[in-house]
Amino acid sequence: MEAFGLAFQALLDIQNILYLCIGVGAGIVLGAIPGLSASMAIAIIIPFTFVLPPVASLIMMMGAYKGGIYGGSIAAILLNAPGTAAAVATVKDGHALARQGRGLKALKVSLFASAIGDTFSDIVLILSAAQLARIALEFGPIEFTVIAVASLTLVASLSGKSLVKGLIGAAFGILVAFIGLDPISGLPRLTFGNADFYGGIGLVPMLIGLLPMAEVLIRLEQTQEAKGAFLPKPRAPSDSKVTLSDWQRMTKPIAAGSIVGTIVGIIPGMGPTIGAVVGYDNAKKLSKNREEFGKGSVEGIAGAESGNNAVSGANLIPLLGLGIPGDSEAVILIGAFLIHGLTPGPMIFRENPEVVYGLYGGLLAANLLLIVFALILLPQFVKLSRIRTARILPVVMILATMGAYNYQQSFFDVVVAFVFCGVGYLMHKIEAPRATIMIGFILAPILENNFRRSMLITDNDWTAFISSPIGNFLWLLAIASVAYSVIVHTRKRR
Amino acid sequence: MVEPAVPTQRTSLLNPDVLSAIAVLGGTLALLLLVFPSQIPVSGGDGLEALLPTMVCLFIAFLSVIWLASSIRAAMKAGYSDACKTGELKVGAVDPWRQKRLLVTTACYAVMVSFVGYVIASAILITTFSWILGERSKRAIFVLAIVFPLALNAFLARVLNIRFTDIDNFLAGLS
Repeated sequence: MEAFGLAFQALLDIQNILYLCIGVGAGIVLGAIPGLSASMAIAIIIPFTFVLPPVASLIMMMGAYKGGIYGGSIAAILLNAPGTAAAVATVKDGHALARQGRGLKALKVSLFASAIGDTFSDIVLILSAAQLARIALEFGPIEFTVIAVASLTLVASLSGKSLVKGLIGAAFGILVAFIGLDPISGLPRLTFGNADFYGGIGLVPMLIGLLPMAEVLIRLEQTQEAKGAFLPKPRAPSDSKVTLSDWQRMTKPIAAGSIVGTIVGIIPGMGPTIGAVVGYDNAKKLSKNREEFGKGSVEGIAGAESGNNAVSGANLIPLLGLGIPGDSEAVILIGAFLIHGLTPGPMIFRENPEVVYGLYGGLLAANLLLIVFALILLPQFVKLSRIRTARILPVVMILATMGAYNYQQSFFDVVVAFVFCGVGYLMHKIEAPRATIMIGFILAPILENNFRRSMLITDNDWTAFISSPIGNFLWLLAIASVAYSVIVHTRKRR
Repeated sequence: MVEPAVPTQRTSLLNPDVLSAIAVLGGTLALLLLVFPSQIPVSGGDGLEALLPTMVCLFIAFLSVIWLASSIRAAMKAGYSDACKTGELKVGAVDPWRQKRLLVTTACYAVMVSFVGYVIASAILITTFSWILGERSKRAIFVLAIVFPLALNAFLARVLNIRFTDIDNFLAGLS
């Protein structure tokens, strides 16, 4: 209860509310525009939040993230064009409803299901992250080394079609993180005598290159604009509203989707796509009207959206509790922490508790603001979904380029962003998940620092890594996730 | 959305997957044999500076061998072009130079900012970019190219106190 009280206190600052409003509004706008996603929106916004206090900055970005996810649903439902993989489950039934003249109903169902799923997972986050952090404070460098390795295998095995490509991406990210001065001895590694490399590769320029810039390149290949089909007008008032009967049908899918999405979000590597798909499947199993699924089922949208959004709050549990990012959105948030000199992980509850509780308050308030903004401004947001690619891509490129420059007021970071733009584009072409590079990059310092400390403490005794009970449990988890991925992949081939 | 037709030609062994695996393997071995000896210190600290980078490189090399083997096996089994598996949706003829032109335009933008300033460079970029992408509405281009950079610059400078471009810093970075 104390956590909720402290979270509420953070919201008493009118400045925080203002930045949250800006974040949610910007997120919905950017998410609704075809070609952009919530991750891209935050990656672009991050460099411009340097000047804000840490709490305001994090709140604004969480608001942008939540707004962006909902904005993506607008494009998915109205244009049959999911901006993210997670919106695919919503598209089928959402667009079908839109073609029946019930587009506003679909958008409102999506809105309420998203907000409820998100709020549920935020409450779980508030109640459990501190407990996990308390346990994690008992861990030593050996346990953290094993956690880092286990997280890498988990993320790599669950985040793409190919385990091998996922692992290569993660390993490449680790290698990139080694560029710069060695954290313990201070000796330069892979710097080629260039002083620009001494500080290492910046996370933010790398993110900007891998996400918005690479996405612009990828979009340039699509010659066909996402065009809105002719959408008929509503025939009755109930076509634009969520009626009591809709609410009765939505309750079970939202409840199931929220729980499932939260569980999915806690496990690193799962991501909102799995939350959405499992939420949708559960909704279908629980429904008495299964024949409606795929043809405009309110329950389908509710299950998918609550499952999808419940992942976002739960994703912060391993991030705040252990300092481990679960997917690309969490990596971007780590970037937000790092630019303010904060390190997510168990120590943040001791060193900067006001940031954590401010974040909690922002998360809860963002869900409420999302409902308010969307209900009032939905018709205007709908128009955004018709913006042409030719008009938005150059703007994204400009914002991304200048965001990279603004990170450290350095031209070097712009070059880094361009290089990773190329890397991200190539990874897309070979169907390798880009998120694994970012996760490997973030986990590398955790892995190396704790590994080297372990070796120092145990006098280079490698058997120490299999002597800890917690460590052994995590090794089993890592082996199980790799084995599971291999089995699933082998079955698909047959 | 239009699904591409499935052509009937046999897959070449030198398809993108195989070539990428070879490139990664070659790059990793080059890194290990040519770059690491001079760029990774082996003494001076706790002696472990080189350990993890070397292990990671060896791991990548090992994985790329597996990738290469599975890509070759998949290419020999498959009966249609690998290009269709990516699920790319293409309608009509794609201008192969469009991406390159736009990338060059963006790279020029990053350099131009230091000479002509953010607003003018952004105006040039947006105009060029939009035109290449097929935007022909002069009003839309005017709003995007002139109004947007001015408005953004004013908002960031006055509200968030961010100076978007410092010409001296840009020039120092280039030299």
